[in-house]
Amino acid sequence: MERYYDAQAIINESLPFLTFIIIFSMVTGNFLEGFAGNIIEKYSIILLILPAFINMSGSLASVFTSRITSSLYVGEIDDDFKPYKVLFLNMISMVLVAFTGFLFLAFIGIAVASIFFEINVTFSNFILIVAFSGIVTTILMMFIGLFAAKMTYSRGLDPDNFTIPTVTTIGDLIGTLLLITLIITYL
Amino acid sequence: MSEKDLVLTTYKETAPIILVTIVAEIWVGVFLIGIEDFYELLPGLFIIVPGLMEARGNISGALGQRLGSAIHLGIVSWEDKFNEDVRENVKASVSLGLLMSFSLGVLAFISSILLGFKHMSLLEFILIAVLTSTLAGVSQVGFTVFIATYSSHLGLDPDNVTIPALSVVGDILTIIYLLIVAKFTLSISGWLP
Repeated sequence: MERYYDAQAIINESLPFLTFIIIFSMVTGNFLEGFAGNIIEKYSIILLILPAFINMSGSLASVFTSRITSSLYVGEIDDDFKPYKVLFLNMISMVLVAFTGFLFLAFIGIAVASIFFEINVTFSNFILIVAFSGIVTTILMMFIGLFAAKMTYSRGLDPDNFTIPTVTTIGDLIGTLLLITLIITYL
Repeated sequence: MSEKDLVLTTYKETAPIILVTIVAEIWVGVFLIGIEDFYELLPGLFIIVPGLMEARGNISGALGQRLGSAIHLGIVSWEDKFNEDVRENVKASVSLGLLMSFSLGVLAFISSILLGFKHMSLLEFILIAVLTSTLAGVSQVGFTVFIATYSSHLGLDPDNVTIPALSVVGDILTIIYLLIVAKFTLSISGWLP
């Protein structure tokens, strides 16, 4: 059988983009530290849940793009992502998982935080903020993942090499900004 | 598959592993707060940690996604998990891990200087980044091939489980290897130029 993948081609396609992504995330990481540093010091619970929060929105958007690129390759959807029903059903599935996951994260965050330090947040507001910002971030990331898939696939590149770095890096930025902004405003 | 089945199956396959990742990541958070001493001993280490995790996640995540597509296309399977396509994918991921970690070490050194942080030497930055990334990368690549092919062998959709499973195992492995490599670097730092 003819070989489908070639290591050198994967490296050539991925390396420039991954290098750009690392520089981008170092710059945004610095910016986020400046933006969120004070608020994180004030609410230790944020520091506790932030890694899980950004990891989950990144994972869910990655599962979504992974499913979409597979559907693209097996011909279940065309390069305009039609029929949209497949896309829509996949999004619904991820939103349901996000709803379960972010609620669980808020509850477990409160439980673990209460072991380590005094909690200075209102439970109901905290749960609503975590769930809302998590679901919104996941939905935005799915659209950004689709955009990345479209841009790369239409140029003859393999979207599998680009969508995950794109959604996880932009997801870190948007997720943290949204969560911290809502916390500053409503907590 | 009916519409209801697609949503339900995806939910049932993805939700449990996502809940496991939440618990694991919370402990990763607790752990990272707990190793602040290391940051004092190896100044600049905190710049490398997020970058290492990010690069590792991107490279193995992309491998997982490519294998997911390859399995759906029938190019790779549990019975045929060491074929040439898998080997090319593995070769690419390991090489990318090496190249990226080297660049990360250099970039972390440069940004420490630019930002005026107290920092370790360029050699220490590169040593920590490359050794951690190689150890974590090689084990993760093996894990990715295993979980992608085995999940499909079990009748699950590899796209639903590989990436979340990888993100937990990857972060935990990276931290364990980082601690080992950081201790090793500290122990030999007297001999480094």
